[in-house]
Amino acid sequence: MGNVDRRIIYVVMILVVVYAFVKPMGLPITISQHTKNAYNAIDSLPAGSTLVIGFDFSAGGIPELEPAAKAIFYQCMKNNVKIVMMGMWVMAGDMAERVLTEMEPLFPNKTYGVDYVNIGYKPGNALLLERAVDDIIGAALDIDHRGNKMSTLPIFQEFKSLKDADFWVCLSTGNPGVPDWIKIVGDPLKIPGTTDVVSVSIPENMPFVQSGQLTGIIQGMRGASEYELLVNRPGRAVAGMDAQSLSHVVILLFIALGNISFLMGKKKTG
Amino acid sequence: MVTSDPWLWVAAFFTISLYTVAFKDNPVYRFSESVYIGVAAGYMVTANWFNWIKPNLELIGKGRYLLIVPFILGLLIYTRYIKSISWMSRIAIAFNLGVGSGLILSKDFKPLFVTQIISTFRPLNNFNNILLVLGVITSLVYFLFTIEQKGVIGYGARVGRWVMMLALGAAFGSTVMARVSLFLGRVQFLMTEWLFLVK
Repeated sequence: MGNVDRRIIYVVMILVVVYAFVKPMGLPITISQHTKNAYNAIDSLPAGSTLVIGFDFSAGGIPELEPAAKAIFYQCMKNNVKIVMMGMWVMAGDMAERVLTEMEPLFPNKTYGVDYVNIGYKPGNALLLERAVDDIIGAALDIDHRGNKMSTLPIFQEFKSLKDADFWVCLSTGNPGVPDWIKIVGDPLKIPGTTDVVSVSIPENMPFVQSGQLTGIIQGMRGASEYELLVNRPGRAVAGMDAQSLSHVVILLFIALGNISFLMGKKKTG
Repeated sequence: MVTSDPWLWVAAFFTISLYTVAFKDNPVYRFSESVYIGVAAGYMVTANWFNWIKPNLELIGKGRYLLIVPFILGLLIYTRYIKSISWMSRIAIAFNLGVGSGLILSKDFKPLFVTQIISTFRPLNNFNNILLVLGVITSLVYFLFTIEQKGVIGYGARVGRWVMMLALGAAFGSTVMARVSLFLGRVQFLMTEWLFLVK
């Protein structure tokens, strides 16, 4: 058993995941306090305030981060909170457009450039944020992801810099990401914010939650499914929870079998 | 029933072909891998051209001549391909290092270091706080290499080692969860958007 062919593990995993998608069991999802804190903070923003979302991830982060991005967009548009989307990662603009493609038809009374905008990717990493703290249009060279002149868009009549943000959310798969938002926007400007991170980044970001530098944290696909439930719009993350739970059971079983076979082998050889 | 969108077929082909390496290395996988790297590089160049270089060049054309300075600095990087003037590339690298160091020294220290230390000073009135303070102290004790690790220091270091092993275990668990989520994302795509097997 200790020398089980890895391909058997892959086949079992594929079968389990496909089964979970075809025959959903509806395993219960409990909402964690961290997700609730993030949700409540965004929900308490008064109408007319502006939330900035940093799309600091690329295509690999879609399964874990996009569902929460959609849920946050949905929540903000319902509460008449304006959204400015930007990013330090090269795919930021396209990641934001993926969210808009699904969300825009749901809110026909909301207008691009008035209620939300996609600045897209601009290079510079932390320096981009640093510049945007003084002048968002200057930092983005006056051009958004759709090729519009930012200075002509109504949303930028009031939102001149990141100082005008009421809350920020960093959707992050790594660096540049959460620490940059904290050290340039969150801490110095005293603007509260939260993050939605891929599962692998949860441990490294938890100290920021502990220190109060982040208002809650949305943890990977699991956190995204909780957020989808909080905004009453179950989507892909909720649909993926059965498969994730079952696949974890499979991994645990193989770990247990591997250890049992190791201990038995040790006993035999004395 | 399957999708008629040719781009979704392309996406499905590359998704499946890239996963075939899990079973055995094969030419289809190597082809997909090469295409992926090429597309990623092309995407990067295009995105940077339209989001940064082109708008900056337009601004220079409109009279903001000061932007020529960073433009030249950037070009200096490429002098490393000409041996006789390759030393000039160090100017650009030195500039970047200088700016980077300055930014880190001025911005990182308080929020990423001092605030983190302050947040470990907690009242020992509940289990979580006790665990946190104990974990921080014992982990630090583990790295006291100039003191012989015996007695109280030895016990502390041993507890610190366990604390770090637990932290690494949690990190590994999160990594597994992240990789599974990635896989789920692709299976979800194949079953919903490509094969319409799931709504």
